[in-house]
Amino acid sequence: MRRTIQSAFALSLVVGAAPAWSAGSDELWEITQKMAMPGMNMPGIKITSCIARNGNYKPGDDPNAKNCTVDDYKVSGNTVTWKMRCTGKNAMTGSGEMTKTADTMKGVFRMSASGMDMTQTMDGKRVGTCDAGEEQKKMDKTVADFKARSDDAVKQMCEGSVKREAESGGMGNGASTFQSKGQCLGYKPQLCEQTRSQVGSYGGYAHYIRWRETAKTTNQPWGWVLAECGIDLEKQRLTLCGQAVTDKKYRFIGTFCPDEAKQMYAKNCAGFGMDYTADMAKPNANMCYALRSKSRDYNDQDAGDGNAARAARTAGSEKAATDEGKGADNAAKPAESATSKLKKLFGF
Amino acid sequence: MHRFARLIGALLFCLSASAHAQPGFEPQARAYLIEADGKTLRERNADQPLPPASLTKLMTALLVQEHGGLDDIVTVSRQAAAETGSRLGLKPGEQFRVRDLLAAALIQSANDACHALADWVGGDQAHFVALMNQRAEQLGLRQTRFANACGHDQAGHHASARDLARLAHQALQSPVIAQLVALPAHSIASADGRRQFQLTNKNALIGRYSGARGVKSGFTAQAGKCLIAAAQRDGHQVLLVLLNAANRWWDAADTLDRAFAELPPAS
Repeated sequence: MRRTIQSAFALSLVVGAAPAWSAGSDELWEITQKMAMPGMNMPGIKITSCIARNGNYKPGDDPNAKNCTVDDYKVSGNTVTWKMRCTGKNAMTGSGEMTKTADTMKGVFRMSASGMDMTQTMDGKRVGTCDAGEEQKKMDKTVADFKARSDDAVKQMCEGSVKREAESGGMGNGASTFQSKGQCLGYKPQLCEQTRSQVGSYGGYAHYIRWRETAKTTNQPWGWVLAECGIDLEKQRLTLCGQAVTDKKYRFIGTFCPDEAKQMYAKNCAGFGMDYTADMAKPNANMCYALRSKSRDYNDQDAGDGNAARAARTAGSEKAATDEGKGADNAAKPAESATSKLKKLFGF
Repeated sequence: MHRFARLIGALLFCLSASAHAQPGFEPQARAYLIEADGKTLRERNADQPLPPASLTKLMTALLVQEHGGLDDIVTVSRQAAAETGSRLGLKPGEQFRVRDLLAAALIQSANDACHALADWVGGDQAHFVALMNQRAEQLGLRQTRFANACGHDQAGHHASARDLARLAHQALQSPVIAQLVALPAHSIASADGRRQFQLTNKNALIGRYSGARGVKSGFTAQAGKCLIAAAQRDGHQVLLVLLNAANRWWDAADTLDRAFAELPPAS
C-alpha cells in the first residue's frame, strides 16, 4: 500500500507538472506532502526534488506503478486533472488535481484502497535549478550501492546460516529461509553439500547425534536440514558402522554401533571392566574401553545385563571394601536388576 | 506362606525401585552428585552427611594454601609421625617444605604429611579442626562437620556430596592445589635433601581417563571408597562426587563418560 501511494504521488507529480516542462532548465523543487485519512492526519514530509525540464512520465516505467493506468487526463490552463486505477496486490482507485505555475505547485490526490479513503496533498515551491541527469546518476548510484550492500548483507546472512545450520543439522525452525521464497533458497545446495560432507564422517555424525540429544533435552525441534536435504541419519549410521570396523574406529563403534560393539567386545574383551587400574594397563585397553560404553548401554536397554555385570564386578575385586549395596542403596537400582535377582531367588 | 510373603515384598521392592530409578547409568554409591559446567546433572542422597574419608584433605589443603608460606619449613611432630593409614613414614623432627607436604597429602593422601600441615597452620589438631569448621561455615557447607584434619572415621566427622562438590570447586580455584591433584606422580624431598619420596597419585583416573583433572580419593572402613573427580572435555567441565562407591574407578569413568555424552557439542 505504501508503494502504491508513493507511485500515485510520483504519477501525480509528473502528470501534473508536465504542461509547465515545455521549456526552461531543470528545476529544483521543495515539496511538502501530507497524507490524511479518516481519524488521522499524518505529519507533512518535505522533500527536495530535481524535476527534468523535458521529463515525460510513463506509468509503465515506474516498477511500483506497472499495474496502474491513468484515465480522463485533462489540461485546463495550468491545472491538470486525471483519474488513476491500480490493480493487483496494491489495487486502488483515485483522482488527482494539480495546479502549477513557474514557481509553485499545489495538488491533491484522493484515493480509495482496501476500503479506506485517503487524501494526499502536495504543496511545492521552486527553489532553484539543477541538473536532473546528474541527479539521476547520483540516485542510480545510490540505488546500486544500496542494492549491493543489501545483496552483500543477504549473502553474509545466508552464508552464516549455511555454516550454522550445517553444523547443527538444523536446530529450531529455520527451514523456511532455505525453502521457496526464502531469502537463502539459492544457498540450499551449499547447505546440503556441507551437511552431507559432515554427516559422512565419524566426527560429523557424532556431532549431529549430540545436537539431536541436546534438542531432545531442551525440547526443541531439530533436523530440518537433514529432512530438506533428504539425508537419512540411520542409513548413514549403518554405513559408518560398517566402515568403522575396517577403520578400527572403536570409539565410534562403542558409541553408535551396538551390534558391532557387542560382537567385538565379546570376542576381544573378556574380563574387562572388573578392575579399573588393571584393565587400563591391558594392551587392548583403549579398544575395550571404547567398545564397552555401548556394549553396556545395549545391555541396559535390553535385559539389565549391564547392571548385572556391574553387580558381579562389585562382588568381585572390590567386594571387601564396603557393605554398600546390601542396604537401602539398592532402592534406586533399575527394576531389571532386581527382577533378575528375584528370578534367581525363586527360580521363575 | 513365608516364601510367598517374601515374594510379595520383593515385588513391591521392584516396583519401588523402578519408580525411583533414573534413566541410564547410575553410579552404585551411597551418595553421589554429578555436576556439568556448574549445574547438577544427577544426584542421590547428595545432602546426606556421610564420612568423607580423605576427601577431608581438600579442606586441609585449602586452609594451608590460604595460610600462605608454601616455601616455609615445617617440622614433623611426634603426633604427625604416628599417623596411621596412608602415610609416607615421616619421622619426628624431620623438616619439609610446606608445598612438599601439601603434595604428599594431596597426591598420595599421606596422613602424616597432612597432620604435620595441620599442626603448622593451627598449632595443634584441635585448633586446626576449629579453623576447618569455621571455613566450612563460611563456604556454606551446611552438612559438613570436621573432627580431624585428615579424614579418619570419627563421630561428628561428616560431609555431604553437595558440600564436597562445593569444597572441591573452592579448592580447585587455587592453582597450586589444581596443579598438584592433576599430577600422576611427583617427587619430594626433606628440607635437607636426605630423604626423597616418589609420590604416586592415588586417583586412578589421572593419566588413565582422558581429560581427568583431579581431585581426591579417600577410603576408610566407615566411609567406604570415596572420590571427587573432575574432568574436562570439549570445553565442558564435569565434577563427580562418589561417597561409598564399591567400584569407584569404573563407576567414575562410566559416569563421566555419560555426563560428557549428555552435554551439548562445543560451539
